[in-house]
Amino acid sequence: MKKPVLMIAPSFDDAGIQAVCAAFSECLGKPLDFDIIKDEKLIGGFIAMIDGKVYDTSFTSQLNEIQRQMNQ
Amino acid sequence: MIDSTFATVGSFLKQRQSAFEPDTNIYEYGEVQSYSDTIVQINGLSNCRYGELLEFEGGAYGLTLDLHIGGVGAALLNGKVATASVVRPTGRVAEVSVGEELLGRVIDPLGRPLDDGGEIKTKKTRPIESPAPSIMDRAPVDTALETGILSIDSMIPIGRGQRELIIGDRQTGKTSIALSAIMNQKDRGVYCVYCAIGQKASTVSNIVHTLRRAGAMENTVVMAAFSSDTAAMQYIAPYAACAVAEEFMYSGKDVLVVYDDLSKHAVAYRTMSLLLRRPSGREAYPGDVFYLHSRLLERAAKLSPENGGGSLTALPIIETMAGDISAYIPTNVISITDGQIYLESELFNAGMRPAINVGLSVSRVGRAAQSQAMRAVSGSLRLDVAQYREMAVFAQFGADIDEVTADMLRNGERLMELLKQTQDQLFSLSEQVAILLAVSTGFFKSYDKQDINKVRAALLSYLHKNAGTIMINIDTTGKLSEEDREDLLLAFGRFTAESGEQHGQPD
Repeated sequence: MKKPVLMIAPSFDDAGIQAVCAAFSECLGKPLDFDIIKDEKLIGGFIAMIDGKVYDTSFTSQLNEIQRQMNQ
Repeated sequence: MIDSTFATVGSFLKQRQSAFEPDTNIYEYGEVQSYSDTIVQINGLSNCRYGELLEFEGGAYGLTLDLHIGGVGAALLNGKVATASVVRPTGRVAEVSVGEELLGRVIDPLGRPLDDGGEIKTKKTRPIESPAPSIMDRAPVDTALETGILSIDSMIPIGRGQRELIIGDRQTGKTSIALSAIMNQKDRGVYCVYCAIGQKASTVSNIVHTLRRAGAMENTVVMAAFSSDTAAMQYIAPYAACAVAEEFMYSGKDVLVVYDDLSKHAVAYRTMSLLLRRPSGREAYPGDVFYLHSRLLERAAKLSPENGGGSLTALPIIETMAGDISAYIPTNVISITDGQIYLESELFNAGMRPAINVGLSVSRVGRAAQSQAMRAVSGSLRLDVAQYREMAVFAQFGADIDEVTADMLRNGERLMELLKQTQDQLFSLSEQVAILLAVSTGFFKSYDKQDINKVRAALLSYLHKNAGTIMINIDTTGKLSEEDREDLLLAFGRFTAESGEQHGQPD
């Protein structure tokens, strides 16, 4: 798979981004060199794409999920 | 009152909203490696399952059909994809919206409307593939599904829950028979699903107009995958139609499904299989083409009373090439179904409509599904037709024939005329019983061959007027009592006498 990608809301500063990257490296037990994309569509939170898996904490997805649950 | 309702709704929404717990959503993703001819090869998705629905960037959907190490192959259902774009598994199999809201509508295999009736507000969905009912869930086929076509109802009876194949060359009236069967279900409480696979939009439009004109759209759902749709759409169409019908069946209704036609369905599946580089077998079809149709047609069933007693009758259609019923797909589907109605170009061109070859047509469920009244009058009909056909071939050579044979030929010719019907000329059970009873007594022998159609119409209207109670009795009970039979015979005699007074004695 290709290089890991971190899509992150613009509200994060450099220190915040570094903290997220470090946390992922620690969780997965290997150094990760992210391509970082700032995306305001996320509203808040981030989406990390690592080794064929997506870790999605973005506000947009959460809002979509609330909408889905409310419709049920 | 209003305030309290608002308060209730508000608190309910607030409760639902506060019940939501934000959580990190972790899922797999794949990457489009290649895309050609609606087949997408994807890297990743190691936990994806066969038949799972995939969501592509840009809103396109695909169906997983091939699992291999390091990736999956999928057939695209709609839209377009770009290479290197992200694919997300949905964790669901393909589903279609179901329910009574669909009646009267024209939809695509994903349940989206194709007509101008606006959004369809269905409450339920159903996976397009589901296992067939088990042995213990089923009951024997014992009720007739009347098609209104004399030759079918009398000689090749179709029961509720049966699978009867309609097979024949192009332009022999296959769809026409299926449409007649649908039209005849109007006001009988039988729901119908017509599934067009790989047909022209203009043909489907004609069919919808025909059904609307006959007032039969109210209890019918039309599902269409046009020839311009992707092979995957055409592939899922009959399964989706079956899912729509199953929803009705499991709610205790009787349903009739027409798959028009499974030859094109097999061709769509062959297209996908070859593009997925599966090994090809006979006529380049893949090895599992039998399973393709058997798992679809096995879903037709008559359910036991404990399961609601609903039924799903399937009328698959197969188009043959130059009358060759021994080709791969026709033999497969013949062996899966409980009988076939075989239509012949020669008969069609000779003016026999419907052009059913009675010798090659059969219903394996047979007389169990016929009403007592029909059984009482149609006993030797098949034999009579077969004997007439054989004799007619001999008589063509101008051989000397004795009086008995000449009589048989005369009766046979009239019988052939009586079996002719147009698409919208459907007969009720009582009308069919009356016609067959009249044939068995030699009633029509005294009339000219050319006048048979007129005489039949006049006789039926006479009977409705003068023996109405008997006709209603037959229709409601499905039985022909000895008294009713005698009364009908007397009515035939009176009709002959009265029509003789009006038009001079028949010869």
